[in-house]
Amino acid sequence: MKKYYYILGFIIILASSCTEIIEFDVGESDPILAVDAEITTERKAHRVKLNYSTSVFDDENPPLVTGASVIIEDDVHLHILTEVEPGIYETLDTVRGYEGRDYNLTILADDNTYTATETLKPVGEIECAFLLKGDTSSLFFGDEYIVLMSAQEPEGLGDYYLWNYYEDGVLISDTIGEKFYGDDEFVDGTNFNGVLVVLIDTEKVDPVNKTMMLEMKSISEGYYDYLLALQLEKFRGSPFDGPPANPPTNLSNGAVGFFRATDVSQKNMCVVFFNENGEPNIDLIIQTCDFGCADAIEDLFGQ
Amino acid sequence: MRIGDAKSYGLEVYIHKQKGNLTGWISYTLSKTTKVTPGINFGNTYLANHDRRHNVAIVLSYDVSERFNVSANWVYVTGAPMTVPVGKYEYQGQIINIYSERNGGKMPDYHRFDVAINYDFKKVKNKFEHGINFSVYNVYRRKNAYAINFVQDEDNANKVDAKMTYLFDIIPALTYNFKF
Repeated sequence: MKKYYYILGFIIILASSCTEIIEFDVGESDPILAVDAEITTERKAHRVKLNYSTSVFDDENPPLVTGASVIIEDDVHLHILTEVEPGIYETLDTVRGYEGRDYNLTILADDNTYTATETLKPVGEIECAFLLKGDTSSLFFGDEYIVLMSAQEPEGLGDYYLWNYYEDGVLISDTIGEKFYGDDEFVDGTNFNGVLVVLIDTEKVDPVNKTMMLEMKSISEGYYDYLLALQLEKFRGSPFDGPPANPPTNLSNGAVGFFRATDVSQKNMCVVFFNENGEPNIDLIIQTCDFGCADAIEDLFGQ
Repeated sequence: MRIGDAKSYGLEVYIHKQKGNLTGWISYTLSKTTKVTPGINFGNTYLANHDRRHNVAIVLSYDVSERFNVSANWVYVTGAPMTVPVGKYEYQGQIINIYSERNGGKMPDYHRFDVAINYDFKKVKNKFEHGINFSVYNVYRRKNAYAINFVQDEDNANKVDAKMTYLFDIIPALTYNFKF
């Protein structure tokens, strides 16, 4: 040891981590066609919504795409959609999709052609559905309603599902962030009684004296991946996050969004009321319920 | 884990003055680092996170007298590549960002100027050397971005803001050194 250096420092640090909103040039990209399209097994007017992407710093809603030609077809039928309001295109109200068929969407907008193909996969029946208040004493549930479903999951891996909920026939889970989805990786071929499929914020619905309906839809693996990517996107913001990436799409020619083909199964939910001891009131459940769920109720809620 | 290839090349220029009262150096590095990783960026080439196209450093030190020295330092580094949102669209009631290709955007450039004054007190017989140093880091108070996040505007939910996090503002420092 030759020399020792002792450094006494008197340091004034004015620094701390600060944040500031800045002008940031991300480069302009040309408007990209965004497609929100669906064909289902319901007989109804099927809707396609088209908008163009805008700059991320724009505070206006993305502009709608008017004057486009939109066609949905399978091997048998070809449906030409008409523009019912700016950017919204609809089929006739007699149109439905059929299980097992491939559906093609073709959009001609501003001299560009965009296509997407999706196979309409069948979905199983919801046997019974129950809506009940979550156990607020448990770690998992807060102030929420939970929806339990009884169903037979078909044999064979590769089934993907999406769940919606309705109150008196009105779709409540109408934005993509409110939808629930899952796959059959760990439940393939199982017969469920009482699997949790949906959580509903108590402020969103009021099930007393209302008809509550659960809807289950078959979705493709591609759309499942799209939903998963959007969910990951929502929980970004930590400094340890990896770089973001675009969700996958089934549209060609650089368009974004997704064309969905789904089979639909719906069931009115049995609303489960509890007495002051926290025990379910079985008689009351059956009254609010679709037929044929007595055994499932006894199995799930019987003492 | 994904395994890919990276390629790096560049040019360095370095001028160093060692004699006289004024010493110091100027360095400049031009470099480019790219990566190709299957499964990232559709397998296309993209810039590495640590790609810095231009890197300049100027360091000067001037001996005013035997004991009194003034020095200054300026660095300039091109901003790091980052993946940025280049657009947004609406899908089922939600606004969804469209991102550039991997590392397709760039952070703001980094630059900073520091100065320091050194004064050595006269040596005493028992070999005790001591001196005082006053320095100022980031003299012109450049706010160098450490991170940029894209956040929803507090007043307008339709609007996105670029929010920069920066670490060090100006930092003056006074140091007393001694050795024996």
